[in-house]
Amino acid sequence: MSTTEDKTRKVKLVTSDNEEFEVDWEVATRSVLIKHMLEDIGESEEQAIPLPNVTANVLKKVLEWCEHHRKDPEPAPESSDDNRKRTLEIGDWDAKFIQVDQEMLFEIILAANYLDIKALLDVGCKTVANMIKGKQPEEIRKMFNIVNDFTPEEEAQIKKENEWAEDR
Amino acid sequence: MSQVSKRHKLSGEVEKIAEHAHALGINSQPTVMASKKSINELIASLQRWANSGDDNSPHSSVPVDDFWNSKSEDSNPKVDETSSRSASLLLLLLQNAPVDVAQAVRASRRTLSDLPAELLAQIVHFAPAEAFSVSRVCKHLRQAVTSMPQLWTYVSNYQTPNEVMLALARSRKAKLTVALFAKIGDNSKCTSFLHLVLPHSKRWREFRFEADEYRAEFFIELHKAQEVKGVGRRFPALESLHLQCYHPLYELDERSRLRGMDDVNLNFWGRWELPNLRKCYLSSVEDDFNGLHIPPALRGKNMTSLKLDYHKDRRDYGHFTSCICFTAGFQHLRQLELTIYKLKIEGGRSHNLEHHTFTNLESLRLDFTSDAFQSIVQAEMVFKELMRFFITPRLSQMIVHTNNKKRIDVKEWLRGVKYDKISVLQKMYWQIRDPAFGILLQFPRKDVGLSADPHQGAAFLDEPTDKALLDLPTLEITSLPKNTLYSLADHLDWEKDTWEYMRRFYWFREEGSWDISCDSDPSDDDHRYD
Repeated sequence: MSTTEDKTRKVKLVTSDNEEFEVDWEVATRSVLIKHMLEDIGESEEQAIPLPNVTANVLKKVLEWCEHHRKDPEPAPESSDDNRKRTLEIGDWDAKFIQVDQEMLFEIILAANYLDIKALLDVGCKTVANMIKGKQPEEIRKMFNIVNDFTPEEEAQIKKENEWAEDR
Repeated sequence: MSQVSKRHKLSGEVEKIAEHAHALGINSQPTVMASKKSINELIASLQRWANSGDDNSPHSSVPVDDFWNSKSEDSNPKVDETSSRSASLLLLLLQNAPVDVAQAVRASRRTLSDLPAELLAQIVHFAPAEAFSVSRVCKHLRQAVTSMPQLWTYVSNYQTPNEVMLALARSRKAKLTVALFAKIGDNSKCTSFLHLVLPHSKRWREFRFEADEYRAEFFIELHKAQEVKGVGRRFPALESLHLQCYHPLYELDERSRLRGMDDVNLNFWGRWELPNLRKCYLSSVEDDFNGLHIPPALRGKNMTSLKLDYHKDRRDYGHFTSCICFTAGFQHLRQLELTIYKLKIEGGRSHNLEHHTFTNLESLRLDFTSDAFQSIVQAEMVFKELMRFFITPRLSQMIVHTNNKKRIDVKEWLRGVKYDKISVLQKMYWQIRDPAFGILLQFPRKDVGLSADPHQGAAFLDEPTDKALLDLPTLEITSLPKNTLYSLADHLDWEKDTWEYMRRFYWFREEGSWDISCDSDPSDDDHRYD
């Protein structure tokens, strides 16, 4: 449970490209990783938290999300994937926030995963899921610039999977 | 992180390249200077090298890794010369500008096919029907997704039989979501699909049946498939039943064609044994409330969550009360979501609702669509009725959405509700869409033996439809000075004493304008106005 003192506290974060961000405790601790790191280092306000897997431009974007969601309730305890809601709905603000180029989208997903921000990770994954929904493999390749590296044998196998039996 | 440590991080990558270069006999101290020209030369060299195979084959492009692994003895002279030159240039570039190159390398990885397997799994989790499409994009995606049984748990009659068989095999022992569709114009059938999935009935976790076309042949097939197999009536792992079968055509005479076949109707699932069923979604048609009897499938003690869409098209009020009686028959119900489309308040044999109570209900959500009410008077009457039998001692959360075109004065209506009545709740939330307006009332935690789970409220507010509303400006009353609070109370014309018992009040309005000004002091979180 956060205290009033925590809420006024500032946290320093240092990105992989050596840029420093000073943010409110409440904003930074949307990340479970940062929250745990802060618990580990205790009251030492001067100590910066290194984030070697996140660059400044990505962290800036992630912090924008954290700032907007700073008052959100604590995430529910970890539930299994099977029980998680499969809805692809994204809130209006999040939908607008995630309208970024593909490179940034994947950067955000990776950063949310690394920083352990479940709700943001879900927003990113849902966005990609929405992008692939109803698409054929070739359309997915085109959309994400992926090379078809299947051998002719593998292609034949895939084609077989996709065939309808006569009795349909 | 310092520049030195960044270089240290990259040294591994540079060393790796240098090792390759050394193996190829390339001088680790190249004499060429890095320039735009040298970069262009490198790109051109790599392109020539990649194109040195069979140009017409779609599989002729060679992975760049192979470039480093190519040995002079097994490559042609053209490739050999290209390799040397390019390797030298690449090494030079890496040594001279390690940070930029590393960033470029990182950036180039950011596409779907380069995500780690666990993230791919999360994406496919949100689009389970796309597992096959994803597995057919490239080798990496195929390998990643086919190795995860949890991504193959979705099977439907929209998949080919081969796909269904593959999904059943790839999912191994994982629990399944089985979806059956009979949508207008899709010409879908179910025989071959059911023959494949019914033998796995022990693995069914969720069954979804979505039909918006009354297709008699489909239901006959369904009936036969179950009879022929003689199995599939017991689903020990089934937790969720989703039955979305509503279409006005159901009201037509088509049903008469099926007379004499008890199971061949929309309640074909009614006699299934579902000992672990926890939640059910029903999109109602007349048969669902047939004789007010709850089908055996839904009578289990674990059946605690019901979502019901009540679609009656201005039938008489008796139908509505029968719907409520039907719902109250779920004795173990703890969560109820009821969506009401078109109501009529007159006519029919109205059931006495006094005898129907929701004794275990903890969470209630009522959605009234834009056509739900014919008049404001009707709406207020229905609200009153609902409050009378829905608010029971264990109920802690109540959410009401009205999307009515007619202005319903909720404030006026709320004033008429006795505080004693609603104070049994922890939360009461009203949202009106036209004009957008919402109230969330949070009351002191009541002492009726409910678990004080702090996440419960969070989950309640986290519903997607609420999310949009929460994006609107929010005023938290605990941050208001007392005078402003009383102004707000006056605005709503509630008794001031009422506020003594409330912890929080939220007020939402669109377009960012507030009816009152606030002078906030958010630091005092537990302020109680006493």
